[in-house]
Amino acid sequence: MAKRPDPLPSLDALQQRLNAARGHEKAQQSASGGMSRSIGMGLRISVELVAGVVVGVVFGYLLDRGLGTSPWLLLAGFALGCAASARNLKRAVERLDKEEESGTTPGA
Amino acid sequence: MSQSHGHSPLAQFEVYPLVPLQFGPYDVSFTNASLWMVAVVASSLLLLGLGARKRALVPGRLQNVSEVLVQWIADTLRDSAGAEAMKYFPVIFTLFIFILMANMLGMAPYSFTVTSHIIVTFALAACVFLTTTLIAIVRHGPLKFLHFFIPEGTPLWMAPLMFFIELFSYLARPVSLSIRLAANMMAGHTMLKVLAGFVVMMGLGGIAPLAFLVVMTGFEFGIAVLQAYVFTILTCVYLNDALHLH
Repeated sequence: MAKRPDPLPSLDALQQRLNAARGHEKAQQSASGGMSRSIGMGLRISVELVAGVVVGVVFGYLLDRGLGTSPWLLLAGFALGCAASARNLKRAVERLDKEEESGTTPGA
Repeated sequence: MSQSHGHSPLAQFEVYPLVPLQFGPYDVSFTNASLWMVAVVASSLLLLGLGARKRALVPGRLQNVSEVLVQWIADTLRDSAGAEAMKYFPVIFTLFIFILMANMLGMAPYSFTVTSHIIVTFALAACVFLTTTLIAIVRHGPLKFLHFFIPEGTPLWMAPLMFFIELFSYLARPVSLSIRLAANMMAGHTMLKVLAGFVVMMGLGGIAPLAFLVVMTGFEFGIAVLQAYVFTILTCVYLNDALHLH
Protein backbone atom coordinates (compact mmCIF):
# COMPACT_ATOMS: atom_id res chain seq x y z
CA MET A 1 0.00 0.00 0.00
CA ALA A 2 1.50 3.32 -1.01
CA LYS A 3 2.23 5.61 1.82
CA ARG A 4 0.12 8.71 1.43
CA PRO A 5 1.67 11.58 3.31
CA ASP A 6 -0.68 13.16 5.79
CA PRO A 7 -1.60 16.66 4.56
CA LEU A 8 0.42 18.38 7.28
CA PRO A 9 -1.85 18.27 10.35
CA SER A 10 0.57 20.63 12.02
CA LEU A 11 -0.58 23.38 9.64
CA ASP A 12 -4.13 22.89 10.88
CA ALA A 13 -3.05 23.20 14.46
CA LEU A 14 -1.04 26.31 13.57
CA GLN A 15 -4.09 27.82 11.85
CA GLN A 16 -6.21 27.18 14.90
CA ARG A 17 -3.69 28.84 17.16
CA LEU A 18 -3.47 31.81 14.75
CA ASN A 19 -7.25 32.19 14.76
CA ALA A 20 -7.33 32.15 18.51
CA ALA A 21 -4.58 34.75 18.71
CA ARG A 22 -6.21 36.96 16.08
CA GLY A 23 -9.56 36.70 17.82
CA HIS A 24 -7.94 37.70 21.08
CA GLU A 25 -6.28 40.71 19.42
CA LYS A 26 -9.52 41.80 17.81
CA ALA A 27 -11.29 41.65 21.16
CA GLN A 28 -8.53 43.79 22.66
CA GLN A 29 -8.80 46.30 19.84
CA SER A 30 -12.55 46.68 20.11
CA ALA A 31 -12.40 47.01 23.88
CA SER A 32 -9.89 49.84 23.74
CA GLY A 33 -11.64 52.06 21.16
CA GLY A 34 -15.17 51.43 22.43
CA MET A 35 -16.78 54.81 22.95
CA SER A 36 -15.26 56.79 20.11
CA ARG A 37 -15.96 53.95 17.72
CA SER A 38 -19.66 53.80 18.53
CA ILE A 39 -19.94 57.58 18.36
CA GLY A 40 -18.24 57.49 14.98
CA MET A 41 -20.69 54.83 13.80
CA GLY A 42 -23.64 56.82 15.12
CA LEU A 43 -22.56 60.01 13.40
CA ARG A 44 -21.95 58.21 10.14
CA ILE A 45 -25.38 56.60 10.12
CA SER A 46 -27.34 59.66 11.23
CA VAL A 47 -25.97 61.78 8.40
CA GLU A 48 -27.12 59.18 5.86
CA LEU A 49 -30.64 59.57 7.23
CA VAL A 50 -30.66 63.31 6.63
CA ALA A 51 -28.83 63.34 3.31
CA GLY A 52 -31.29 61.14 1.45
CA VAL A 53 -34.29 63.21 2.52
CA VAL A 54 -32.49 66.46 1.63
CA VAL A 55 -31.69 65.20 -1.88
CA GLY A 56 -35.28 64.09 -2.44
CA VAL A 57 -36.78 67.36 -1.22
CA VAL A 58 -34.37 69.51 -3.26
CA PHE A 59 -35.08 67.49 -6.40
CA GLY A 60 -38.82 67.65 -5.84
CA TYR A 61 -38.72 71.37 -5.19
CA LEU A 62 -36.62 72.16 -8.26
CA LEU A 63 -38.78 70.00 -10.53
CA ASP A 64 -41.84 71.69 -9.04
CA ARG A 65 -40.51 75.10 -9.91
CA GLY A 66 -39.63 73.93 -13.40
CA LEU A 67 -42.94 72.23 -14.15
CA GLY A 68 -45.21 74.34 -11.97
CA THR A 69 -46.94 71.38 -10.32
CA SER A 70 -46.50 72.56 -6.75
CA PRO A 71 -46.75 71.05 -4.22
CA TRP A 72 -47.19 67.50 -5.50
CA LEU A 73 -43.69 66.94 -6.84
CA LEU A 74 -42.25 68.26 -3.60
CA LEU A 75 -44.23 65.67 -1.65
CA ALA A 76 -43.31 62.92 -4.08
CA GLY A 77 -39.66 63.95 -3.84
CA PHE A 78 -39.86 63.87 -0.07
CA ALA A 79 -41.33 60.35 -0.13
CA LEU A 80 -38.72 59.10 -2.60
CA GLY A 81 -36.01 60.81 -0.57
CA CYS A 82 -37.15 58.97 2.53
CA ALA A 83 -37.05 55.69 0.62
CA ALA A 84 -33.59 56.50 -0.73
CA SER A 85 -32.32 57.37 2.72
CA ALA A 86 -33.74 54.12 4.12
CA ARG A 87 -31.83 52.24 1.41
CA ASN A 88 -28.63 54.12 2.22
CA LEU A 89 -29.11 53.40 5.92
CA LYS A 90 -29.48 49.70 5.24
CA ARG A 91 -26.36 49.68 3.09
CA ALA A 92 -24.39 51.71 5.62
CA VAL A 93 -25.29 49.32 8.43
CA GLU A 94 -24.34 46.32 6.29
CA ARG A 95 -21.05 48.00 5.42
CA LEU A 96 -20.31 48.72 9.07
CA ASP A 97 -21.05 45.13 10.02
CA LYS A 98 -18.76 43.90 7.26
CA GLU A 99 -15.99 46.23 8.40
CA GLU A 100 -16.36 45.15 11.97
CA GLU A 101 -16.09 41.47 11.26
CA SER A 102 -13.24 41.87 8.80
CA GLY A 103 -11.32 43.81 11.42
CA THR A 104 -10.52 47.07 9.61
CA THR A 105 -9.58 50.00 11.79
CA PRO A 106 -12.50 50.61 14.13
CA GLY A 107 -13.92 54.04 14.77
CA ALA A 108 -15.82 54.69 11.61
CA MET B 1 -6.69 91.29 11.31
CA SER B 2 -8.75 89.39 13.85
CA GLN B 3 -11.72 91.67 13.79
CA SER B 4 -14.07 88.74 14.18
CA HIS B 5 -13.20 87.41 17.63
CA GLY B 6 -16.18 88.98 19.29
CA HIS B 7 -18.31 87.48 22.00
CA SER B 8 -20.41 85.17 19.87
CA PRO B 9 -19.27 81.55 19.68
CA LEU B 10 -20.05 81.68 15.97
CA ALA B 11 -17.69 84.56 15.28
CA GLN B 12 -14.89 82.07 14.62
CA PHE B 13 -16.49 80.98 11.34
CA GLU B 14 -16.56 84.41 9.77
CA VAL B 15 -14.87 84.72 6.39
CA TYR B 16 -13.49 88.13 5.50
CA PRO B 17 -11.28 89.22 2.61
CA LEU B 18 -7.62 89.91 3.23
CA VAL B 19 -6.69 90.94 -0.32
CA PRO B 20 -9.76 92.04 -2.27
CA LEU B 21 -9.62 90.84 -5.90
CA GLN B 22 -12.18 90.95 -8.69
CA PHE B 23 -12.37 88.80 -11.80
CA GLY B 24 -15.07 90.45 -13.87
CA PRO B 25 -18.27 90.19 -11.84
CA TYR B 26 -16.82 87.54 -9.51
CA ASP B 27 -15.28 88.19 -6.17
CA VAL B 28 -12.11 86.14 -5.97
CA SER B 29 -10.56 87.85 -2.96
CA PHE B 30 -7.91 86.16 -0.97
CA THR B 31 -9.76 85.56 2.30
CA ASN B 32 -8.71 84.27 5.69
CA ALA B 33 -10.06 80.90 4.56
CA SER B 34 -7.66 80.97 1.60
CA LEU B 35 -4.80 81.85 3.93
CA TRP B 36 -5.54 78.88 6.16
CA MET B 37 -5.82 76.57 3.16
CA VAL B 38 -2.38 77.72 2.04
CA ALA B 39 -1.19 76.94 5.58
CA VAL B 40 -2.75 73.47 5.36
CA VAL B 41 -0.98 72.71 2.09
CA ALA B 42 2.32 74.10 3.37
CA SER B 43 2.17 72.10 6.57
CA SER B 44 1.29 68.84 4.81
CA LEU B 45 4.15 69.37 2.35
CA LEU B 46 6.47 70.03 5.29
CA LEU B 47 5.30 67.00 7.26
CA LEU B 48 5.50 64.55 4.37
CA GLY B 49 8.46 66.14 2.60
CA LEU B 50 10.70 66.31 5.64
CA GLY B 51 9.48 62.91 6.69
CA ALA B 52 10.45 61.32 3.40
CA ARG B 53 13.83 62.99 3.20
CA LYS B 54 16.11 60.67 5.11
CA ARG B 55 14.75 57.30 3.93
CA ALA B 56 16.32 55.60 6.91
CA LEU B 57 15.59 51.91 7.31
CA VAL B 58 14.76 52.48 10.95
CA PRO B 59 12.60 55.59 10.75
CA GLY B 60 13.02 58.61 12.96
CA ARG B 61 9.93 60.22 14.45
CA LEU B 62 8.86 62.39 11.51
CA GLN B 63 9.49 59.64 9.01
CA ASN B 64 7.54 57.26 11.23
CA VAL B 65 4.52 59.55 11.21
CA SER B 66 4.62 59.87 7.43
CA GLU B 67 5.01 56.12 7.02
CA VAL B 68 2.11 55.38 9.35
CA LEU B 69 -0.19 57.74 7.45
CA VAL B 70 0.77 56.41 4.03
CA GLN B 71 0.52 52.79 5.13
CA TRP B 72 -2.82 53.28 6.85
CA ILE B 73 -4.46 54.81 3.79
CA ALA B 74 -2.78 52.38 1.39
CA ASP B 75 -4.11 49.44 3.41
CA THR B 76 -7.56 50.98 3.57
CA LEU B 77 -7.64 51.55 -0.18
CA ARG B 78 -6.36 48.08 -0.96
CA ASP B 79 -8.84 46.43 1.41
CA SER B 80 -11.83 48.41 0.15
CA ALA B 81 -11.22 48.64 -3.56
CA GLY B 82 -8.70 45.95 -4.47
CA ALA B 83 -5.18 46.07 -5.81
CA GLU B 84 -6.11 47.67 -9.13
CA ALA B 85 -7.41 50.74 -7.32
CA MET B 86 -3.92 51.48 -6.07
CA LYS B 87 -3.32 53.64 -9.13
CA TYR B 88 -5.75 56.12 -7.58
CA PHE B 89 -3.80 56.18 -4.34
CA PRO B 90 -2.18 59.63 -4.87
CA VAL B 91 -5.59 61.30 -5.21
CA ILE B 92 -7.06 59.49 -2.22
CA PHE B 93 -4.06 60.21 -0.07
CA THR B 94 -4.02 63.90 -1.05
CA LEU B 95 -7.67 64.11 -0.08
CA PHE B 96 -6.98 62.45 3.25
CA ILE B 97 -3.97 64.54 4.17
CA PHE B 98 -5.72 67.79 3.21
CA ILE B 99 -8.74 67.06 5.40
CA LEU B 100 -6.56 65.74 8.23
CA MET B 101 -4.27 68.79 8.30
CA ALA B 102 -7.22 71.18 7.87
CA ASN B 103 -8.98 69.61 10.85
CA MET B 104 -5.81 69.55 12.93
CA LEU B 105 -4.80 73.14 12.15
CA GLY B 106 -8.33 74.16 13.12
CA MET B 107 -7.63 72.91 16.62
CA ALA B 108 -4.97 75.58 17.16
CA PRO B 109 -6.16 78.55 19.25
CA TYR B 110 -7.44 81.52 17.23
CA SER B 111 -7.30 79.49 14.05
CA PHE B 112 -9.91 79.10 11.33
CA THR B 113 -11.21 75.63 10.56
CA VAL B 114 -11.39 75.40 6.80
CA THR B 115 -13.48 72.24 6.76
CA SER B 116 -16.23 73.71 8.95
CA HIS B 117 -17.68 75.52 5.95
CA ILE B 118 -20.04 73.44 3.90
CA ILE B 119 -18.89 75.04 0.65
CA VAL B 120 -15.39 73.67 1.23
CA THR B 121 -16.55 70.19 2.15
CA PHE B 122 -19.06 70.25 -0.69
CA ALA B 123 -16.26 71.09 -3.12
CA LEU B 124 -14.28 68.09 -1.86
CA ALA B 125 -17.31 65.81 -1.94
CA ALA B 126 -18.24 67.02 -5.43
CA CYS B 127 -14.72 66.19 -6.62
CA VAL B 128 -15.09 62.67 -5.22
CA PHE B 129 -18.58 62.25 -6.68
CA LEU B 130 -17.68 63.52 -10.16
CA THR B 131 -14.48 61.49 -10.24
CA THR B 132 -16.12 58.20 -9.26
CA THR B 133 -19.06 58.76 -11.60
CA LEU B 134 -16.76 59.56 -14.51
CA ILE B 135 -14.61 56.52 -13.75
CA ALA B 136 -17.71 54.32 -13.72
CA ILE B 137 -19.07 55.71 -16.97
CA VAL B 138 -15.76 55.55 -18.80
CA ARG B 139 -15.01 52.06 -17.57
CA HIS B 140 -18.37 50.35 -18.02
CA GLY B 141 -20.13 52.48 -20.59
CA PRO B 142 -23.13 54.72 -19.94
CA LEU B 143 -25.72 51.99 -20.53
CA LYS B 144 -24.32 49.65 -17.90
CA PHE B 145 -23.96 52.62 -15.59
CA LEU B 146 -27.69 53.33 -15.87
CA HIS B 147 -28.38 49.65 -15.33
CA PHE B 148 -26.72 49.97 -11.93
CA PHE B 149 -29.73 51.96 -10.79
CA ILE B 150 -32.18 49.13 -11.42
CA PRO B 151 -31.20 46.28 -9.08
CA GLU B 152 -31.51 42.71 -10.26
CA GLY B 153 -34.87 41.10 -10.03
CA THR B 154 -37.14 44.11 -9.90
CA PRO B 155 -40.41 43.51 -11.74
CA LEU B 156 -40.93 45.72 -14.76
CA TRP B 157 -43.73 47.79 -13.27
CA MET B 158 -41.55 48.75 -10.31
CA ALA B 159 -38.51 49.63 -12.40
CA PRO B 160 -39.17 53.39 -12.85
CA LEU B 161 -39.83 53.86 -9.13
CA MET B 162 -36.72 51.87 -8.20
CA PHE B 163 -34.70 53.88 -10.69
CA PHE B 164 -35.61 57.13 -8.97
CA ILE B 165 -35.04 55.74 -5.50
CA GLU B 166 -31.63 54.39 -6.47
CA LEU B 167 -30.79 57.64 -8.25
CA PHE B 168 -31.63 59.67 -5.15
CA SER B 169 -29.63 57.38 -2.92
CA TYR B 170 -26.68 57.73 -5.31
CA LEU B 171 -27.01 61.51 -5.31
CA ALA B 172 -27.22 61.50 -1.53
CA ARG B 173 -23.57 60.42 -1.39
CA PRO B 174 -21.89 63.80 -1.96
CA VAL B 175 -24.51 65.44 0.26
CA SER B 176 -23.82 63.07 3.13
CA LEU B 177 -20.05 63.28 2.68
CA SER B 178 -20.08 67.07 2.81
CA ILE B 179 -22.66 67.46 5.61
CA ARG B 180 -20.93 64.90 7.81
CA LEU B 181 -17.56 66.65 7.76
CA ALA B 182 -18.87 70.21 7.96
CA ALA B 183 -21.40 69.48 10.71
CA ASN B 184 -18.88 67.61 12.84
CA MET B 185 -16.32 70.39 12.60
CA MET B 186 -18.76 73.25 13.07
CA ALA B 187 -20.62 71.66 15.96
CA GLY B 188 -17.42 70.64 17.71
CA HIS B 189 -15.80 74.04 17.47
CA THR B 190 -18.97 75.90 18.42
CA MET B 191 -19.30 73.74 21.50
CA LEU B 192 -15.70 74.42 22.49
CA LYS B 193 -16.23 78.18 22.21
CA VAL B 194 -19.50 78.04 24.16
CA LEU B 195 -17.81 76.10 26.96
CA ALA B 196 -14.95 78.59 26.96
CA GLY B 197 -17.49 81.38 27.37
CA PHE B 198 -18.91 79.60 30.40
CA VAL B 199 -15.47 79.36 31.97
CA VAL B 200 -15.02 83.13 31.84
CA MET B 201 -18.59 83.88 32.93
CA MET B 202 -18.60 81.66 35.99
CA GLY B 203 -15.57 83.22 37.62
CA LEU B 204 -14.26 80.97 40.35
CA GLY B 205 -16.79 78.26 39.59
CA GLY B 206 -15.35 78.12 36.09
CA ILE B 207 -13.18 75.22 37.16
CA ALA B 208 -15.92 72.73 36.23
CA PRO B 209 -16.46 73.84 32.63
CA LEU B 210 -12.69 74.17 32.31
CA ALA B 211 -12.22 70.52 33.20
CA PHE B 212 -14.95 69.56 30.78
CA LEU B 213 -13.33 71.78 28.15
CA VAL B 214 -10.04 69.91 28.51
CA VAL B 215 -11.80 66.59 27.95
CA MET B 216 -13.79 67.91 24.99
CA THR B 217 -10.68 69.35 23.34
CA GLY B 218 -9.06 65.94 23.48
CA PHE B 219 -12.24 64.44 22.07
CA GLU B 220 -12.19 66.99 19.26
CA PHE B 221 -8.69 65.93 18.26
CA GLY B 222 -9.97 62.39 17.98
CA ILE B 223 -12.95 63.54 15.92
CA ALA B 224 -10.62 65.50 13.63
CA VAL B 225 -8.65 62.38 12.75
CA LEU B 226 -11.75 60.19 12.66
CA GLN B 227 -13.66 62.42 10.25
CA ALA B 228 -10.71 62.60 7.88
CA TYR B 229 -10.52 58.80 7.96
CA VAL B 230 -14.28 58.35 7.46
CA PHE B 231 -14.24 60.68 4.44
CA THR B 232 -11.37 58.70 2.97
CA ILE B 233 -12.80 55.27 3.60
CA LEU B 234 -16.14 56.26 2.09
CA THR B 235 -14.29 57.59 -0.95
CA CYS B 236 -12.57 54.20 -1.25
CA VAL B 237 -15.94 52.43 -0.99
CA TYR B 238 -17.44 54.62 -3.70
CA LEU B 239 -14.38 54.04 -5.85
CA ASN B 240 -14.87 50.30 -5.37
CA ASP B 241 -18.49 50.66 -6.46
CA ALA B 242 -17.40 52.56 -9.55
CA LEU B 243 -14.69 50.07 -10.48
CA HIS B 244 -16.41 46.78 -9.74
CA LEU B 245 -20.05 46.50 -8.95
CA HIS B 246 -21.26 47.99 -12.18
